[in-house]
Amino acid sequence: MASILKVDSMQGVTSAGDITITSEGGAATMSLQQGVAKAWVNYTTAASFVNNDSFNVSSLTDVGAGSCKIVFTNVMSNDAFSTTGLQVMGAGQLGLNAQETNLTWCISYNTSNAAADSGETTGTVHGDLA
Amino acid sequence: MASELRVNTLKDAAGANSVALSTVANGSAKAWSQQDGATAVANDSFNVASITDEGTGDASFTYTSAMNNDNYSLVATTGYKAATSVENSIVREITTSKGRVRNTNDSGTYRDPGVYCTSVLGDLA
Repeated sequence: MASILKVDSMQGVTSAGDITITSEGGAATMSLQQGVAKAWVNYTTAASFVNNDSFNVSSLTDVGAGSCKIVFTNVMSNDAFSTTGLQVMGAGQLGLNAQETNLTWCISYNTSNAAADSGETTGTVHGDLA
Repeated sequence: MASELRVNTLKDAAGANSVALSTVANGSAKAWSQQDGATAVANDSFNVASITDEGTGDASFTYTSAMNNDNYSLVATTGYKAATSVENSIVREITTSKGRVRNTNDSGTYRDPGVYCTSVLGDLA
């Protein structure tokens, strides 16, 4: 029988920050909080940086050509989180310049390996919120 | 006391923002890590049992809970060796128990980055 749960907030019973869900294959369980992305963003680097859409991102700081500080609304608990992303510029690359609890700093490189504005960049953050 | 709730759909209290629990499970990362590029030590991670330094610019990690098959998504981004350096990350190997990433500089030569950041989405076993 299908069921619907209507709530605004969920917490674990044993530990408020730990809700367990069952794996797709049914052989394992995993932490819901650890698997959920803590931030994501789709932004454009150009003369002015544009936040096209995002989650838990309060602002973008233009630090130079292709260089963008993505500032979080809710900060991370430490700087050992994971930022993964891609940028739209032929064979160009997206690199990480720094990560701090309140931001992740990404730089887009063009095919000549120079920092450069790209049409669009996407990024996702996994880790522990404060 | 631990408890178990079995539902198909989650909604907020107003009945909006409906999401199937299968979407929550499928959309959640099954593993992530930030690991030191030189020492192959995990600075922090989820569902990562061990990390192996496979050589210069070459690191792998094994999962605590294995994936259901090798058709999952492994995304890696590397960086901050130096503010001006260009790091290119390459997914080298994907198996149900292991992910492996390589890193090169802008000339295509393998080298250790400052960090490897990875995220894994797909089906757990």
